Order: sequence, then C-alpha cells, then structure tokens
Amino acid sequence: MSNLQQQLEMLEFRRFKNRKQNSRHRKIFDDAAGAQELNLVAMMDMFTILLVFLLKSYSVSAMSIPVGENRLSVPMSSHTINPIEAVKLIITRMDNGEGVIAVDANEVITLDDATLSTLKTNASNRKYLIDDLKVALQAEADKIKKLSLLNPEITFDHKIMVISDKDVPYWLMTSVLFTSADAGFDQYNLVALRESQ
Amino acid sequence: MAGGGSQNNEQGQELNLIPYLDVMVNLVIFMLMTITGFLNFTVLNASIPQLNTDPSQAQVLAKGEELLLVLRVKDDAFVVEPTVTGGPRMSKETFPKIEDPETKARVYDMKGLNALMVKIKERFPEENKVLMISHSEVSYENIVHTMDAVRETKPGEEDLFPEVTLSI
Repeated sequence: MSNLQQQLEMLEFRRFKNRKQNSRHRKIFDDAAGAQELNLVAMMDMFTILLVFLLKSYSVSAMSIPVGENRLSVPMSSHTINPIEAVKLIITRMDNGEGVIAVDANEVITLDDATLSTLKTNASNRKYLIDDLKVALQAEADKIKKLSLLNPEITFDHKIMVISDKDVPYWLMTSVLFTSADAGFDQYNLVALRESQ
Repeated sequence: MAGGGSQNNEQGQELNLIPYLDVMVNLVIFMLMTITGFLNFTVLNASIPQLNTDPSQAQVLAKGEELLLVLRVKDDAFVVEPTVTGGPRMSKETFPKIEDPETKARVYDMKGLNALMVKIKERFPEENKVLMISHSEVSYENIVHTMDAVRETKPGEEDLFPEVTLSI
C-alpha cells in the first residue's frame, strides 16, 4: 500500500518536473527570440544619481540670473565672492536696438535708438537721473521696507545686484548706478562670471 | 527544482520600471537644459563716493601719512594719480594701451597697472580704497577687468585695493 503511494508520489513528482523543464525550455526558446526584458536596474541607478546631483546643484543656483548669448553676456572676473540674493538690475545688450533695462523681471526701459541718444545727451550734460528707473527702483525699495516691518529677518540693506552686458558703455552704467543710488540702492554688487582657475 | 521555482516567482514580481524610467529621463533632460549651476557667478562690490559728515573720523584719518589713490581709466590709457598727504609725494603714472599679441587689438595694460598697485600697496599696506574715474565710452567689461587688476595679484586674494569707488 505504502509502496503504491510512494510510486504515485514519484510519478506525480516526475510529471511536475517534466512540466517545469518544459516551461524552462519554452523560456529559453523565448529568450532566443529576443523577448527577454532588458536589465534596466543599472541604468536606473545612474539616472537616480544624476537626478539627485542635478537637484542638489539646482538648489544652490536657486538665484536665477538670466543669461543668454544674444541678449546678455556678463564679463569675466577673477573675483571669488559668492553672490547673495538682492534686487536685480539688468542691462542687456544694447547695440542691436533691442536692449532693455529691467528691475528683477520687469522691463522698465527699452533702449531703442531714440532713448539711447536722449540718455547719452543727458549723461554728457551731467544729468544722470533716469526717472522711470528711479520710480521702479523706489517701488522695489518700498516693497522691501514694508516686508521688513512684517518680517524682522528681512532688512533693507541698500544692496543691488547689477547684471550688465559686457559691452555697455560707462556713461550708461553711470546713469543707471546714479539712479539706483538716488533710489536708495548704493551698495552695488556687479555680477560677473568667475574665471575657471 | 526549488531554484527554478523561486526564479519563476521573482520574474512574476518584477516591477514595471518603464514609466518610472520615462519620468526620470524627462526630468534629467529638462534639468540639464535649464540648469545654470555650472555657470559660476561672482560679484564685485563697488560703491559711490560718500560725504564724510563726521568730523571726528576725519581727524583720525588726517593723522600720519595718507593716500588718496585715484585711477583714471581714459580712452587710451590708465592714469594713476596717488596723492600723498603728510609724506613724500608719489609721481603720476600713465599706462598707454598695449597691443595684444594674439588678437593684435589695442588693450589696456592690466599687468602694468597691477605691478604698480603692488608697489603702492607696499608703501601703504593699510590702505584699501581706490577711486576709479572712467571715460564715458569705456566698456563695462574693461571696468570689471580694471577692478580685478586693482584688487588682487592672484584670484581670490584681495591683497591690494579691494574697496573700489566708482566716480565720474
């Protein structure tokens, strides 16, 4: 009786084993046909590391400085101070007639030929104040002053970040810097690209 | 046999990573396109001339030998005018533009200016200020480079005259 049972078990086991082998054969056959999935784990590891690295450097460069080949290319400098967040005053390339002076992201003055010649005449007559820019900068200063009343961590430190194209002549810089000092921003941080050492 | 069984189980449980991978690839490409972190920015501090209304401070400054260093950036040259009060005078120096050996263009003599600044700094090691008066057509790039030449001998040192005052 027990012998019969043993034989039956043995038979069952063989059938099971055969089935297993058959399925394995089928799988090998599938593999040969190219239906096996790629092992993507290694690639995913790589992407995860790259993503983490990019996210990290993203947080460091949270300060967005709009730089583009056509509109703005800042000069190089050997200085090594890290920029700190401040009100941004941007002067883009002006020789193509499309230059702008912007405060943060708001375009304040378009530097077309007529405006440029007016500004230049004013500058040569030692009239450096640019009224529209002063209004925009004062609004910015008032905003910071109001914020500083609500949040003691914010203080109005008279700092302004000047991001200017490298070909901007000094008379325009003078007018812009004079105006910003008149509006209360007299600590200039001139932004430049760090020279690779 | 048993091994074969467990292999089968693992295969059945494998996650479908394709959508995840899609997201990752898109994110990485987007970040690589928009990143500005590789651009290494720096800032140069500058200020404008300030009126000194505190007489006590003026008196402190008046003691001993004092230097007022003026650098004129002209159209075609640097002119350094060190005015010394309470000590022997220093002569005015002019550095005309030189020819760049590579581009053959006329450029400012940054090295000459830097060498003179080192000499002045040796005599006045406590002095950090320089007044920069530029011609109206000098480009912003040249101003930044001049500030570099006046400020330091090596990048990041700030060993010469780091407090630049821009004037007109």
